[in-house]
Amino acid sequence: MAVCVAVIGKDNSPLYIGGIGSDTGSDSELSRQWLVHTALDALEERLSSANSNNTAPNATTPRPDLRDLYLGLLYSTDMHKIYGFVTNTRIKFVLVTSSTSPSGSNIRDAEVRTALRRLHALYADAICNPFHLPGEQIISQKFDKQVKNLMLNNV
Amino acid sequence: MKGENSPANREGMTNKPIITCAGDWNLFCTLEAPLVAAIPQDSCEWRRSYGRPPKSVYLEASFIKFNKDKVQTELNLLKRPIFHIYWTDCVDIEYYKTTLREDVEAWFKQLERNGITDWMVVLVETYDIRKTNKLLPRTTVLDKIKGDFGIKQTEERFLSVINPIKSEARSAESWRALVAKVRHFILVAYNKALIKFEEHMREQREKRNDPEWDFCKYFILQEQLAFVLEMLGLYEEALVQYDELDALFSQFVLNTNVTESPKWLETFMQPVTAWQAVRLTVLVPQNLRELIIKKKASILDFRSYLFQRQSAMLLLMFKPWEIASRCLSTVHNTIVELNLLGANAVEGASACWAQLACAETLRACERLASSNNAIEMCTATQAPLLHNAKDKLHELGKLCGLLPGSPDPTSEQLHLVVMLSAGMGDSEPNNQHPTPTDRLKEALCSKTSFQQYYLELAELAMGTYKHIGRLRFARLIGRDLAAFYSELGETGKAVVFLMDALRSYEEQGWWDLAAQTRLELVAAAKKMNDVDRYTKLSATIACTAELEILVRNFYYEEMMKSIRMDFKGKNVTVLTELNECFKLVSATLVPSDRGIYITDHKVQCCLVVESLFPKDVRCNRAAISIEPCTEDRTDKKTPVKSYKTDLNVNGSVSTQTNLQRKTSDVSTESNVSNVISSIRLDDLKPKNPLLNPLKITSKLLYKEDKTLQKATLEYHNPKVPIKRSDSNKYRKPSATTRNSYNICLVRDDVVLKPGTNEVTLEYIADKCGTFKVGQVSLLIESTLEYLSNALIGTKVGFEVHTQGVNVYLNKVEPKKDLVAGLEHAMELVVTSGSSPIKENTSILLKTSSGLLIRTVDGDCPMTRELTIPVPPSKPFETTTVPLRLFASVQPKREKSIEHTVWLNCPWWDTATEVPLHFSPPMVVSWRLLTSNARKFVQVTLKSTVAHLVQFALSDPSLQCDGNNTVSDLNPKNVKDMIVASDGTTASFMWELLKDPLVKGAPMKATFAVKYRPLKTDEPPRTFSCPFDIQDYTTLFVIRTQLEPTKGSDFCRASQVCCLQLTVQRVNETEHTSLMYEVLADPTTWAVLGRTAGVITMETNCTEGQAVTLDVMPLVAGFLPLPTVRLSKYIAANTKDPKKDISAHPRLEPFSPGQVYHAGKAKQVHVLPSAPKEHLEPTV
Repeated sequence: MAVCVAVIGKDNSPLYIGGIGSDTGSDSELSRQWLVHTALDALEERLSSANSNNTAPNATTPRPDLRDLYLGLLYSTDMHKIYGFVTNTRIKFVLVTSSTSPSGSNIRDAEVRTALRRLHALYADAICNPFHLPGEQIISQKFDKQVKNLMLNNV
Repeated sequence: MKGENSPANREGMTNKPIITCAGDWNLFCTLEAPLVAAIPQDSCEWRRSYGRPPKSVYLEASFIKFNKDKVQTELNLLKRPIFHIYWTDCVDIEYYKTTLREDVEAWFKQLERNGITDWMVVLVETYDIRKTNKLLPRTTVLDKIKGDFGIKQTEERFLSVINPIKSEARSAESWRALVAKVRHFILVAYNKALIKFEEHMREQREKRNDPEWDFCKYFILQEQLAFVLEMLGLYEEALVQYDELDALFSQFVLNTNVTESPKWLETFMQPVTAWQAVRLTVLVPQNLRELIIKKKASILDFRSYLFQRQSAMLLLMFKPWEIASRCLSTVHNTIVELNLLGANAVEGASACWAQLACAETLRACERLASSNNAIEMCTATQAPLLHNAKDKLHELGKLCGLLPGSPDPTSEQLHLVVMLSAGMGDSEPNNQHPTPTDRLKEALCSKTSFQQYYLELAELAMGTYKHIGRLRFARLIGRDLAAFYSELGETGKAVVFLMDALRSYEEQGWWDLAAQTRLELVAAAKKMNDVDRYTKLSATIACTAELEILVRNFYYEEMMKSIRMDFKGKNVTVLTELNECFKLVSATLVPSDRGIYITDHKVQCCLVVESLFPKDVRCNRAAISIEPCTEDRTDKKTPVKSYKTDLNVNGSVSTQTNLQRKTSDVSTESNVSNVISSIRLDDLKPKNPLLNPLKITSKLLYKEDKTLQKATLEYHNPKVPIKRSDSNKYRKPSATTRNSYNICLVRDDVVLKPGTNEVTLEYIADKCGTFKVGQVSLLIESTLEYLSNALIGTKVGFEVHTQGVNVYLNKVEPKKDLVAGLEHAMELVVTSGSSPIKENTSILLKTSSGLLIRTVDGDCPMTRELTIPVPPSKPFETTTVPLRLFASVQPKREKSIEHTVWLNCPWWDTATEVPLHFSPPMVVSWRLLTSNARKFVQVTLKSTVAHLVQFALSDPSLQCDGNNTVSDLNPKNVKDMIVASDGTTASFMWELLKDPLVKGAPMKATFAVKYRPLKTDEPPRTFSCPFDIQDYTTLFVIRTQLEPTKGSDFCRASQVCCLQLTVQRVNETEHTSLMYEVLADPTTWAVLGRTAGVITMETNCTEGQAVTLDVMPLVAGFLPLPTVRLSKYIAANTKDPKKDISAHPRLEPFSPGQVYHAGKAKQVHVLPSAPKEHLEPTV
């Protein structure tokens, strides 16, 4: 389903970036990082417009429920669609799907929402580790495995 | 939605509701024009079924003649007449009955056959004044018709109207009613028709999985609904229809991935031959629609058509931003679909189409936004469009070989350009501005125009992104631009973009991206032949942990190569940020052995630094700059006083205690200035508040019956002070300036291994004061100088003290006091401080008068000034110079003698004062003894020195002035007398031999004696003591005699005796009036009567005056006689008040030698008192 999942900290620095796919070369991994990085712009825009009372009418998916952590599609490129999710502590999750893959092109919003919610749960589990310092990069192999699974599971 | 935008104003709008007219066609022709004009003039409320909200819509109508043969099926919404009207102006009932009725009946039958229920019968009357005057018209033709054809539900469908052509004024009301009715019935008809149509449509849609089902047909079918809704002004609902179709289509295409594709989809798999720009107008692009109907449309044609229609609806709704945002998703979807369907197309066709779509959308947005206040809303969506347009253009440029740096286009590429241009078709005529199609065609023609267009788009996209605050996107474009410029040869511009991007990535911790950008930068630097930057970046890349080790090693070698090749022989260094290649772990000042840092000694700092290089690097010089603390007092010299030798307190103060005291000073001072000696860089980071332990307390709550109610864990959230978030994180880092390294901790030539290195830096302190550690500098391979900014602002530092030279004047035997008149062994102790003592240094000693000094060696004389050369010595060495010191004895008998030695050292500006306390060796006391007129002088010598000293005395002498002589009464043949401080005294006695005839004037006498300390072989010194003897001549002699009372032979206790007192003048004196006082011991004597009295001595009489007193001894035994004191009696002088202030008489004592009391030592034997019986009566 997803080709890349990123966890981004409060200060917009990446805490975890995991990608899967046939193209696991460093080149494509980098290109995914660019995608995630620029997604932050759209994400922040979404957050600020959600915070201000007059939600911009041009937002493609207006958020009726402010408590909804799922931000929907942030933006898309020829090849990818980028979805966002933000926790109450401003930890951002970014999920990138590939429009070219059969599973990625057909994805429904609800599926992405579920996946991101599950990611949130995984993240919460990972940072419950008392040896993990909040704000540090997540190096847990278990988390990595679970996230990779999450990405693949929905394929 | 009113006025100019009403459907009537739009060209090509062909979907007006069709109304047929039957009956009198000629009559209708006269009414058609006003009717067509009147219908759209007002809105009408459209009540809709299925609970859909009522809408107010504007209607139009087109009228055709009723054709009984050509009644369309209800499945075509557009071509089918929706409403039918029968017109007649028959007023004659007879005529109606005969002819008209048949006609009407036929019309009704016709309608009935087709199931049409939407009709109306209009009777046009001519205004007749007579008729209206009648109260009730009997029956009109209308009534007749109504009666014949109408039922209750359809009664309102029969209407009479006054012909407005013939009598305009009267007709207005009926005319208005007619128009309203027409509108109303049209809508009713539509409602019915739409319900039916929707049902049909739904039916069709359900069949979509049939192999025979055709999307194109269905599309045209559903589009009718959209047209009708559009015509009714319900653009939103029309858009919904298109969106439904869009979704349906997308789903089909996407499903081809999973399942077998239906047959109709093959239509869209046909080769793409045209990729014209979408035209965003409200017009229906009929050519494309034709293609769809004919099943000739390619996927691009279909998508173009759909997007244009969707945009048309949005244009009508004035939502250009929505078009913009839909454009991108459409473009993305279309390209995905194109790939999925595998439709054949020239390479670049899709890019062309996408680029044009984006550019057209932008143009449309601009056009609309400028007339509406929607610029702001558009800008936000324009940026991604521009971005996409730019990307697509780049793609095209790449295909056609137009990118800078690429070789000239091949013939195939040129051919491709032609193909692509052809596929774009012609741009719309009559345009002043070049259309996107024109621009794209132009851009594909030449490299320069391509470049111009590309840069325009990129700059515009970047600017727009920046404007809407999407800085990351802007930087992404910046990177693209950098690559473009770099290819163009304008590497300088590229570097600017890359640096900007690099900084932002670094700031936010995107290390991979930063590493990638650095690789791009280093390539740019190489291109620019910017050696400094290239070397620096190579070093940084070599230190980037995110990159693979091979890459790092390569750039490490590049760096070394660059240093070897380009910097060889050059004496320049390149300043770099330390953090890029090294990590400071800690800096610790090594405490000095002495506890404090002192001048001319090493200050050492242990710097722990982590090298990120993949291999060893040579650090030619590691240094930490040192800054003096300005706010500190510069003069750290300990006050002079502490150098003073305090000889009273147990001799000298030792160096050790002196230092200790100073260290304690240091510690207090350093507390004041808050200088710390060690720092770990981790400590500088603000502490993560999340790591603070939670203050959790557990509580057990009990119920009244002492059973546990609940156990709680409570966490009291303490009010954590809100701190300003680290805003400098996003601040542009200021370029590190190189501190002054005039004074610095330094270490030369270290090899820094990958990983943690510990380097000890040294600094020889030459000034005292407080210093702060500043900047760290590592000079790598003689070329790269890494500068930190880490230690600035912290308070790592040290204090340097000068340990000056200490000079003490010490006693050799510290326990013994200094004694004047004896030579003492002293020593001058010179302790060199932190600095060595140089050659030819000397100390000048000056003494106060009476104190002499000499060096031990040789027989140099004692002087009051002495220059002592100090031998050169290393730091913290002690030199002792022995000295002899002699303080002359002063004749005055003071307890101690104060002397001072001034030490003039070259190190100090002022002379150091050493106070010395000398005790006199002996103390002289003398007494004048009298025996009648003979006088004796007794001299007693006593030593008061605290420690034991013994002197042997010889040759005592007493010299008197004038003509007085003394006779020596001292034994001549004895050995030296000894006087010692253990209490041994020596006494000498001389008799004053005086001529009794000479009046005893005051006399000066000098006692002298030679002394030498016992058990030494020092030559004896002379001790002399002058004194004055005054009033030594005996003037009066007092004699006392005790006689028992008459009649008794002995003195008895408690019996009154007679004391005979005689005063005799023996020498001349002016004192004639004398007073005597009997001073009896009250325990032994009781004086009865007067104890004192005044007597007057005759001047020329040598006879004594006798006084008798009654005294009584109180005890028995040998009792000394009562003493008598004789004083000068000066009577009250009333005559001369000047002399005596007091009018009372007064007494003046005589000097001890003037009155000789002959009976002073006499004793009388007093018997015990008489028996008791004799005594009792007397008591």
